[in-house]
Amino acid sequence: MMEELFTLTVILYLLSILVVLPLRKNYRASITVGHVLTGLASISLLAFTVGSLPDVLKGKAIEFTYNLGVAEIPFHVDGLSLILCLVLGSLGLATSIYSPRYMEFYERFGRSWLYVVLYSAFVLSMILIVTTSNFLWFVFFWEVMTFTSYLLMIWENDEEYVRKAGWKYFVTMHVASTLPLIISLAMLYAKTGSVNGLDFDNLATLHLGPIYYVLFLIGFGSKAGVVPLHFWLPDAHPAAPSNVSALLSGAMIKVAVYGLIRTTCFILRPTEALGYTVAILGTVTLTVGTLYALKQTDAKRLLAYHSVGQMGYIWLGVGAGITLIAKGYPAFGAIAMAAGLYHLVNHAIFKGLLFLSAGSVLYRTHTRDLNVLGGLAKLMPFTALFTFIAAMSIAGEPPFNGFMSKWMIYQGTFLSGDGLLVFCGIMALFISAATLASFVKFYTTAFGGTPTTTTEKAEEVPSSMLIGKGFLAFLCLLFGLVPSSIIPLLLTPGKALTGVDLSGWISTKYWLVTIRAPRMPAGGETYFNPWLFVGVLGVLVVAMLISYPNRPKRIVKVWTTGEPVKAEHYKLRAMHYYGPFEEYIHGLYHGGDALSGWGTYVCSSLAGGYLSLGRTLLRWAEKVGKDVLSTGRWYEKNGKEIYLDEAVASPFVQLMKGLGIAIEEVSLSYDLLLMLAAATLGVMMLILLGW
Amino acid sequence: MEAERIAFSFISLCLILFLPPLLDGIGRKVKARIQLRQGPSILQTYYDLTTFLSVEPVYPTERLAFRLAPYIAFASAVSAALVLPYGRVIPVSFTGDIFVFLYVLAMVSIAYMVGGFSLNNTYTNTGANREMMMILSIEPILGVAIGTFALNAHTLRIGAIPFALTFTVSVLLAYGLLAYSVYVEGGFIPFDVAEAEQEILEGTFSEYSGYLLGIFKWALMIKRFALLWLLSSFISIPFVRNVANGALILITQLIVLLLLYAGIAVIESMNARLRIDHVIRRNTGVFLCSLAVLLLAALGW
Repeated sequence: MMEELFTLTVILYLLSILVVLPLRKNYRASITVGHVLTGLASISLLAFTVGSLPDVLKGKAIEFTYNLGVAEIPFHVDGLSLILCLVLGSLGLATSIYSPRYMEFYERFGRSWLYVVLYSAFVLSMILIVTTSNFLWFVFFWEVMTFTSYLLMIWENDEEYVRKAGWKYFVTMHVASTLPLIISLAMLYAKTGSVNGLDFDNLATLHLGPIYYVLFLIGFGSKAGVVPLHFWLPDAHPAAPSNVSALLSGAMIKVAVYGLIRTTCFILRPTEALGYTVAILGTVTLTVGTLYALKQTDAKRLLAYHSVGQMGYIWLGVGAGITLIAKGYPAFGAIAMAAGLYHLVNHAIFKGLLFLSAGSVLYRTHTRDLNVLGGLAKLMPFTALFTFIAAMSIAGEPPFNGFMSKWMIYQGTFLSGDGLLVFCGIMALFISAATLASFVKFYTTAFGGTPTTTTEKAEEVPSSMLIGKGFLAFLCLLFGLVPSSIIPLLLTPGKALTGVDLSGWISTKYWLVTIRAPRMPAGGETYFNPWLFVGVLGVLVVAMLISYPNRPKRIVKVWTTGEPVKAEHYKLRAMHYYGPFEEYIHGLYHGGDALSGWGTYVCSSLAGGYLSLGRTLLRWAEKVGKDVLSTGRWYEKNGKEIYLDEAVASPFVQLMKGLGIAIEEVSLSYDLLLMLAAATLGVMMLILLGW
Repeated sequence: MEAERIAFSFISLCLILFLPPLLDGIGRKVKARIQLRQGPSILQTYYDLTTFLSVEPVYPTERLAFRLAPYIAFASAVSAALVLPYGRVIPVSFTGDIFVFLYVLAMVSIAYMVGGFSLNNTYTNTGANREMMMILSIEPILGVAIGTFALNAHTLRIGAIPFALTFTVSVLLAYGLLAYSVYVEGGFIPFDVAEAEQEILEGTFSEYSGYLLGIFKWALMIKRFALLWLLSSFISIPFVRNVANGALILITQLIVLLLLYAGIAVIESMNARLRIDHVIRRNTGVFLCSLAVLLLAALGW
């Protein structure tokens, strides 16, 4: 039953690709129809997630195979996959509701059909990555994800910085993410000798050396934006349209965490060295990412740096979990890993919401520079409310969801009894304050104060955009106030890994969460009851409001010590926030810049090699390349009639077709470099499938 | 037992709400005496507070963030104080965890900052800005103190840590770090940079008036009380942890609290306000030294 819902999701996504092609002349209609279908697909995915929950919580997995005639795609959906399905379903639904109106902002670029095709292919590839149980298909969908995300990222290709950022992303991903995965794929293929041998179950029975840990760490670390391979992320994520940024920061980098856990814990075995490496990388990442975020004044760039920082929290939680499992505390390790995964879900939701909010501000004011924004709370009250919820969530304030996951990460590190992990926890606590600082700035500069000349004409965004954001804001509250709604699911990967019974270690009765750690004295369990907290706080606020009613009868001007100062000159600008602190840690920024410069240097020199390799490959595959292009052109001309039967034949044909069209599109408007890259990718795929 | 619980909870609520102004008054008196002044009556802070609370405020904006900030600050400070142990009773235990306590208490500062930043006023902005930098610089030190306790006691429950501690060198040093953090977070001189009266017109408070100001000041006093009650519990409970009588424990906590306040008044009277960059530098120095404490704790000393 459940697999039908999953199939329905896949079909709806593919359908959105097909339906949009006949509508390609009408910009708005094609995007609306496309997103209605992707929205339905997301609902279907959420239904699949909720429906599969009872079985998955019992430790079972849902298994099925798609037989495409030419190839078989096996699927295996367990707790870990389901967590990502939940993220992709929720974010997919929110962006589907939000995007139709938001994309009006990009109407001048046209190509609505291409947008829908790429959007659907992008989200669908992520869904397939987290559910397939064959490593070959995993890498194949991974490549589709990278490619489609790249094309979405460079949507505003008339801007120099967008093209540059996209190129940086594309090259970095191929050198640092795809290449390690392809190498490991080749090595594993050589070991097993068949495509079926690449099933995860089969790989887990092999004895694999430490080189795989290294390859997977690099491959998934670079995609997740882990320091020092993070330098592409703060350029790349803000370059995309905001709805796509929400998916990039909300979902795509989470898929890398999925990949890391799936490969290093389920195919390989969790080891102490791996755990410490992941935890320390996480700590470095959260520190560097967030401290850099602190001095940003571009709304989307600030959010992108925080994506780096928050990824650090996720890695820290997961790393602490792996360490503890490997050290022989399986139950507490499972809790720590669940904490990391909890933050994964939460970050997807609040970061998605924040990007959609930044997009709303951009939509109405045409700027994302926090220095010139101001006073939007009055003009866009709902956007302000949702942004505030998201800001408090990411800053980790109770009772929002970000607090619950950070709190669990603190438990997992501080109670580990391990000095190094405790230090990681201390850094996480410190950086939590830095996150707060950054989001107090983000919120108060854009929404606080009186409207500026840039914002005075702004008004609330259309209701469909608000509904998309409201849904995510609701989830922020749900996962914060009712932790029992999600924690059982988050514990399943740890349970599956260790096979221990967690009752007695963590309980989530109704609203209450209680955690026990190893060597804890009697009566030392920590617990938190968010509802009781909200109740106490609410009663106190209401009691005070009744005693001291708050009704301004008249408003007076702020006190300017008698000087005639204009309001806009009397407010701290975003760039002046926390000046003394940033000045004090400037040494750290210098170090970070040096690291980043080094990373860019390595990246660009590798890019040189990559390009010449690409050129060689292109020469070899000239004929194939030409075929792809002409196929693309042919479909452009004879669109509608032949589409359907081809589409059911194979997703590969579907993909090549899309690729062909994309290549043509690219070759018309972009420079040679990009065409070369796209063709190289096509060749890589051919090699991949020619195996 | 239930009757005792209710009695203790009631007493603690009274302490939380009505003791802080008295403690402030005592502090003022001690400072005055050290400086060879007569000083105000120790009830002076009550008089000030009742005056504020009886005056209708003047609003510089109709923004909700500004108007609700004092109420949120007050409610957070009281909520945080309610999860601390009073004798053997925790009045409202929505949590037992020290992090939840700190985060709820931090909401006082958040209200202060959001209120301050929601206006076009450089003074309130500067106050809010400084408050944030204070938190940034003190957070890691607090983290090391808690980390050391957690390594030693294997629990993060406020009520359980003092009962489970084994006194080693690192734990004693962690007490020092905790006391330092509490002092800085409490905004006592020389760390009163965020509400500096003479310099930035009391920061965020410069635009608050009437009972809004009264509620906000009350909230800050309760925040100081909660921080010092935490410290006083950590200090006093290990001495009386084998005593079954809750009242005796409560009295010990109270005595230690009064001594702490008197001690703070002495330190305050001998210092002048630091500049914010000095605060950051000093706190970073303390943090770097504190890492040695963590190392000791990890080694089991």
